[in-house]
Amino acid sequence: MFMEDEERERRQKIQAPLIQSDLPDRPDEGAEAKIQIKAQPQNSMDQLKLMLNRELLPEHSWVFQNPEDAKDSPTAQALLELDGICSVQVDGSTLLLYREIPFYSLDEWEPLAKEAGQTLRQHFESGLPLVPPAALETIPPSEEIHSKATAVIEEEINPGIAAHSGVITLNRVEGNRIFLLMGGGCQGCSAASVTLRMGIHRTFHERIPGIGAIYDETDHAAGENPYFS
Amino acid sequence: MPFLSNFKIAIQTGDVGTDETVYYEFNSHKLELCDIEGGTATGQRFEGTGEPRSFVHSLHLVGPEEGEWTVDSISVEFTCQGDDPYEIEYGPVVLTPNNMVQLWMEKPPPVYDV
Repeated sequence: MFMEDEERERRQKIQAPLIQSDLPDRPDEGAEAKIQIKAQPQNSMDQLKLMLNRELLPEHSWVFQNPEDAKDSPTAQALLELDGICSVQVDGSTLLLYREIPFYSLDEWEPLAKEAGQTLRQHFESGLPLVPPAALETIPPSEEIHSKATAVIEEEINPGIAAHSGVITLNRVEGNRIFLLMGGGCQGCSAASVTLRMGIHRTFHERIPGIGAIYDETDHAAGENPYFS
Repeated sequence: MPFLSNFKIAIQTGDVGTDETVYYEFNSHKLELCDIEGGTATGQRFEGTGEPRSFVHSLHLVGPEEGEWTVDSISVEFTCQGDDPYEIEYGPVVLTPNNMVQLWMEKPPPVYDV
């Protein structure tokens, strides 16, 4: 039977925490702990997630968008030289590599993932910071990021996606991380992740220097017409 | 979009149970589980099966019509057409008359050591 309209409107769709048993052990900053690096290509085929048992960048997140961004970070430079990698995002103990052109299958990521793992092991041996301290000093306060992000959404992003009946809202800001909700035609749209990465990420990083990771917190399966908009 | 043949769900109830029928929502339909074993009283384990046999847009476990239902864990084994079954595990959640919790997740990509 169809769920009654009243009930469908009343019930908020919530998410329980996902339990993953194949993650690395708890992040451990102790230098004596053996380095564990787990790799997981993403279903979109254009991203590889690397999860470590130690922090790469405590407290903040950072995004290297091109070799110029990475000129003071040998590790980021090396990662950006891997086959087709165009962007590197680091957040705590997780690193996300974006590939300009998606692979055709998840298996194709494996050689690249091994190279990335090797690069990260060399990084820990070097003792150098992944993100130079001078770069971290440019991070604006969260309140400033919040007001600037709100302005960017209202003045640039939403007018641009209005033709597709899309609307973006700023859900929250944590440190220099931005959490977005994609509504209207964006919610459930199969092109939402491409729009987010190719358009929205770029606009935010150009307009708000010092911001880090940008996350989509939309429940795309909850749209009125998921995957058909 | 995957074609969900069936799923098996196991729910471990926490401190507050429910005596209501357990429903799931599938593509805006509200349905009962079959092959039920166990229960949803405090501390009990409940098992059931759903057989949507359709392309999945949304799949949720529906909260009770009255009161709260505290759930310690949910595990779901999905069988999609043309693929091997896979299991997803969720942690604690509180279900109420005003919510339903997401169950559906596509098969996670493999994780390997590098």
